[in-house]
Amino acid sequence: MPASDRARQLRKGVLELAILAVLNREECYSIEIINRLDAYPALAATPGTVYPLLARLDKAGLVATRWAEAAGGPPRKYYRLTRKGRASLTQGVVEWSALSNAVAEVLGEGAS
Amino acid sequence: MTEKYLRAVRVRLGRLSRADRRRALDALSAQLQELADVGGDPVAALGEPATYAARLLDALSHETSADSARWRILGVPVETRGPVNAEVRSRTWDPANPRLFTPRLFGIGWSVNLGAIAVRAGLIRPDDTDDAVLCSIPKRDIRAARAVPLAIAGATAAALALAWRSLPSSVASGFNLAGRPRGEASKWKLLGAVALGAGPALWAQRRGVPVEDRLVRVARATSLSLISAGVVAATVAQARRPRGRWGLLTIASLPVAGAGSLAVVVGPLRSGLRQTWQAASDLRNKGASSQEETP
Repeated sequence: MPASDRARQLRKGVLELAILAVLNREECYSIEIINRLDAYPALAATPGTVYPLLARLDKAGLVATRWAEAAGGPPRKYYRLTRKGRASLTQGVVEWSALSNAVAEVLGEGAS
Repeated sequence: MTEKYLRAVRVRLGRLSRADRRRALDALSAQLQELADVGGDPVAALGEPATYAARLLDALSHETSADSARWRILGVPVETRGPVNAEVRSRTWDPANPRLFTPRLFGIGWSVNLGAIAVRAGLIRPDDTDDAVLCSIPKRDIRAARAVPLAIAGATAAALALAWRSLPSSVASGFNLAGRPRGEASKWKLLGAVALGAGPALWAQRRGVPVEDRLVRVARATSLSLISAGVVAATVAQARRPRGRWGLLTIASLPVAGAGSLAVVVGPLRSGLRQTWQAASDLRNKGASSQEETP
């Protein structure tokens, strides 16, 4: 499997968690979310990936939206975490820590 | 038990490529054989066949989404479900998907994603279409949009009825890219061209479907009714003035159909957006004024 495909597969489940983490800091509109993910090259995602994910999170009740006026343009849709979203993030952090520790350990064993 | 389990998994793997399916089933067959040798129960060891198949699909299929065709031949998408399937239909209006071309609703090749065009044209943003916006679309706007394909199909049928007596018994059966007739056929074939617009226009009137799907149906119907009008107009004009290159009207109807179908979705959607923005602004002003009133 080419590295890019593997990276895509690895990122598949993590991106959702990363979006929840970004929104846990503050309410953002979609482009802000994409820009914040862009700051981490491993998490950089295209709008084509992020928008469907946001729609899914909204449908699952993990995020809520509101329209707010934007300077020099039409109102923007802002996303924020719901209580369910915060609980999902907390659970995701625990799961991710366990997973990344286990993978780090296995990779360490394999390398030694 | 082993064969039954294998069969139950196989029937659920239709989405995978033939090679992936064969590899997965070979591995499963070996695993089931090992289980049978030690007298193990496949369901207890591997779970229900449906669950096992779902895990296989998740592991082996690439990120399949609504914009993925059912099959591919030499990389070209092939869709067999057709526009009667809501998931397939939603490809023509998917603003969250930046791809301009998505697999055709039926047959081989690609079709245009109107949602991506609307986003690129700056008419909407990719995440504008949510439940709040769709619910805010005034009913009269949806009614007006639904009436568009019906009016076009009705006008086409009426125009043909008026011209019917003056038409010769045989008319152009089709046109080449230069706009010249390819052959001749009975004028009754024009009824088929009218049905191409009228059928979908009636189908788009169906109530009791979600608003977004209703608009997508209207867009498809508008596009087909405009193409139908173009074909009928070109054929009638060709019959009356055989020297002209009237077939170009059919080609010209394609971009018109694209623009028309975009308009019948974006128009109501922008009405819904305006209503939502107004409601958000009213709420903010109300909040600000109640804060001022509080001593």
